[in-house]
Amino acid sequence: MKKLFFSAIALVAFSGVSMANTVEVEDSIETIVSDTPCTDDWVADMKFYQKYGYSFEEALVFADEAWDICMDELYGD
Amino acid sequence: MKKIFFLTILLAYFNLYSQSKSGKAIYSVKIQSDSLLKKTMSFRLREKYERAENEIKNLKLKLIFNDTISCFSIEKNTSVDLFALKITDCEKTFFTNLISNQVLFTVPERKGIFSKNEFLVQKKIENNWIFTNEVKFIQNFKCYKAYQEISIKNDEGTFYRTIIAWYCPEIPFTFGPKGYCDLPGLILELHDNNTVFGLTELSIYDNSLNIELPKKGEKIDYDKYLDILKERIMKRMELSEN
Repeated sequence: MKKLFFSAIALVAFSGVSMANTVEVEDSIETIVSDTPCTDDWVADMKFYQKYGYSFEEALVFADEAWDICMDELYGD
Repeated sequence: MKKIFFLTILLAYFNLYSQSKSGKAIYSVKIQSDSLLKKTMSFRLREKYERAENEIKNLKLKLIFNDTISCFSIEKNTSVDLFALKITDCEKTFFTNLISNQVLFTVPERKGIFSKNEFLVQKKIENNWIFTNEVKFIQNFKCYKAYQEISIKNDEGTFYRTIIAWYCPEIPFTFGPKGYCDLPGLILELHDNNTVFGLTELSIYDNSLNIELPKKGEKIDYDKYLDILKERIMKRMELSEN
């Protein structure tokens, strides 16, 4: 009986923690997901190049060029 | 006798430059390869970047200057890929005005973002140069090294970049590429991130060149320009999603 009670407590605690994490993950995905993969890449590129120390303008040059390539690969010229 | 001859030559040399009132300098551009950056790029983007590294060697930029104003722009008749111009920031024309202590640059036309001559961006001249005793010769001119840290504020935080200038006190004009100035001599070499501008030709004139500041376009500060750019880019992304 004691074992069963302990297991139930552990299960509730574990599911609580795992649910909390799920919400967090879903939130962060929601902010990135868009209809086109090129836009997702563009957002990621802008973040990366700015973290690399580039200004917004400089990051934009690389992210835009990568976006053009992505669109070209997906839909052609 | 030798001393007098040497002194005469020296005086004539200084006299030549003290009388000069304007000039024109031609610069070449080089991209210093960033292997770490390249590793993060997709195959096709890396290919474009490497092509730009090669192509940019054909680009010539001119700096014309008088006592108070300079203009830094692409020398005509050079055809270089737009991506190469963008990554080296050579698309813009920079005007430096020592009287107003400002650098003005034109905003290139960009489809769906900026129309032709829509804005003229003004920035205060950045002058936090730190002088060193390092010397090197560029085109036979003795140059000294100076550097300054500039801050880059973007969406991810504040970053610092070192700008290196090799200036020549023998050429008494305080200008250089991309609006960098305020050193005791012309900047013959400038390092901005991994882009290097290097002097290839120099002409000094006795008469003063008339350099007109641009009039077309709404004058805005750099911060406002960035706000407008961000707003329009976001609108463009929203439109591309629909």
